[in-house]
Amino acid sequence: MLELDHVSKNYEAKDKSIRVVQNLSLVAEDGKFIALVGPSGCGKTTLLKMIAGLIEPTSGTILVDNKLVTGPGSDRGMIFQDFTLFPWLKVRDNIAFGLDMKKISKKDRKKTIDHYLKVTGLVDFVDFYPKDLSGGMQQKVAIARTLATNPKILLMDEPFASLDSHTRSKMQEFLTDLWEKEKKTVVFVTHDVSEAIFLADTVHVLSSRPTTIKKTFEIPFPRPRKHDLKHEKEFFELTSKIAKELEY
Amino acid sequence: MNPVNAIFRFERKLSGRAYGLLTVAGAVSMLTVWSVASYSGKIDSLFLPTPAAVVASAATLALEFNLLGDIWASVYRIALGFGLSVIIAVPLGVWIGIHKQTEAFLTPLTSFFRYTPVSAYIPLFILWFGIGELEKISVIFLAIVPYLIVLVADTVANTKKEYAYAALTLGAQTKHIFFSIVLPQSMPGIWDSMRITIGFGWAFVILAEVVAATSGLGHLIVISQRFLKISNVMAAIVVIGLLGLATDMLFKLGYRYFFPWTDKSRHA
Ligand SMILES: Nc1ncnc2c1ncn2[C@@H]1O[C@H](COP(=O)(O)OP(=O)(O)OP(=O)(O)O)[C@@H](O)[C@H]1O
Ligand SMILES: [Mg+2]
Repeated sequence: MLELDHVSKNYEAKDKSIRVVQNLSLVAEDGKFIALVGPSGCGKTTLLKMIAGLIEPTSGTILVDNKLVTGPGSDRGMIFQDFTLFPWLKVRDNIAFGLDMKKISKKDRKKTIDHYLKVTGLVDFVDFYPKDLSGGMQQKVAIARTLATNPKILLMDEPFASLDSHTRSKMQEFLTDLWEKEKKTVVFVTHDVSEAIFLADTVHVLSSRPTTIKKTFEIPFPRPRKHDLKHEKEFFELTSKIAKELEY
Repeated sequence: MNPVNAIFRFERKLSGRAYGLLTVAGAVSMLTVWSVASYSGKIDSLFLPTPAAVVASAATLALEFNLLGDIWASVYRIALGFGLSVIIAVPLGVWIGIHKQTEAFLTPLTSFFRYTPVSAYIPLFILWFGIGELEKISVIFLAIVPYLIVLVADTVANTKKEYAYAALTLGAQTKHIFFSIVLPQSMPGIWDSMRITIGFGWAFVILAEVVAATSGLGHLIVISQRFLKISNVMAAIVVIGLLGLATDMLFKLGYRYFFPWTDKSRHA
C-alpha cells in the first residue's frame, strides 16, 4: 500500500520559497490504478518524484507498505514524461538495465527480456537503438524496462502526452491490457481527463499550484475496457463532469 | 519534410555515394582554382607553382630526399604529444566535469594556459629541453591539454540528469551512475574533443619544427624556403593537409564504429 500523509513541497528559488505541493494526502491500495489529473505546471511531476524518492518532501511522510520512503528503490518504478531510454543501449540492454544492476543469472536475464519483448510486441526491434524507434515504441520499451525490475508500484508521468492521438489510444489499450494481467499499483499522472477515466479505478483531481487533491471520483466502468468505451454516453458525461471540476 | 527539419537541416541524410561525389567535387574545385591561377601565368610561378610542379617536387623529395623520414618524424611527435595529452587531459576533464571543487581549483591553471600563446613558450622550452624531441612534445602537449581538459569537462558536465534519475528508479546505486550513465553518455563528446584537438597537434608540431629542428615537415619547409624552393614548401603543405584529412577521416570512422547509437553516426 502507498500512503501519502500531509505531504508538502517547497522549492527554494533565489531568495524566496515556492510552495508547489500543499498538504496532500492520498492512499493507493495494492493493485489499484490511480490517476491524477491536474492543470499544467501544478506540481504533478514533483509529486511523482517524491514518491519515487528522487526528491524529498519538505514536510509530511510517504509510506510504502508502512516503510518510510527515503530514496529511490526498485519497489517503485517510474516512467518519465520525456523519453529517457538510454540512447547508447540497444532495446535489449535498455530492458535489461535494472536487471544488470542486480547481477542476475544470464538465463533469468534472457527469460525476462524475452517475456517483455513479447508483451510489448518489440521482438523484431531488439537490436535497435532508441533513435531508430518511434515515440510509441520508445515508451513501450521504457515501460518494459521498468516492469522488468518487477516494481510493486508503477509511477507514470504523462507517459503518452507527446504521442499522436492514434498512437496514444493504442498505448492506452496496451497499458490497460498489461495492467489487467500484471496487477501492479499504478499512479498515473495526466492532464487528459478521458485518458484518466479510461485507465483508472480512481481519479483524483488536483488543484493548481500549490497543488492538493480537490476531488476524488471512483470510475465504475467494468474491465476489461476496450477503446469503444470512450464513445459511450456515461463515459462522456463523466468526462465533462471531471473536466468541469478541473477548470475551477 | 517537416518545417523544422527544413530550416535547421536536422534531417541530414545523404547516401554514401552522394557524399563521396560531393567530397570529390569540393576537392576538384579547390584544384581548379589553383590550376587557373598558376597555369594562366597571372601569378609568377616563383610565388605560386603549378599543381604538376608541386607533385613533381613531392616525388623528388620522396625518392631522392627524406620526405618519408620527415613525415614520420612529425607523425611520431604528434602521436606522442597527443597520446600523452589524452592520458592526462581526459581523466582530469572528466573529474572536473563531475566535481565542482576540482573545477574551481583547476580553473586558474586551465584558463591561464589556454590564453597564453603556445608560441611564446617555445624559446623557454628550447632553453629547458634543448631542441630535441622533448621540446617538440612539450609544445604539442601545452597546446592540446588546456583545451582538451575544458572540452571534456564541458561534455561531462552537460550530461542529462534525467538519465541518472531513470537509472536510480531502476535500482541503480549512486556509485553505478558514473560508469553506467555519465561515461557512456559523454564518450562521443570526448571523442569529438580529441578529433578537434589533434588538429592543434599538427599546427604546433610544424611551428616547433620551423623554429628549431633537424627533421620533420616543418624543418623541410624552412630549409626549402631558405633555398627559395617554393614548390617544395607547397609539397610539404599539401602533404600536411592530406595527413590532416586522413586523421580526421579516421576519427570520423571511429565515431561511426564506436557510437552507432548517436544521431550523427547515421551519415559520414
Ligand atoms: N527543481 C526545481 N526548482 C525550482 N522550481 C521547480 C523545480 N522543479 C519544478 N519547479 C516548479 O514547480 C512547479 C511544478 O513543476 P512540475 O514539473 O512538478 O509540474 P507539472 O504539473 O509536472 O507540470 P507539467 O504539466 O508541465 O508536466 C513549476 O512551477 C516549476 O516551475
Ligand atoms: Mg510534469
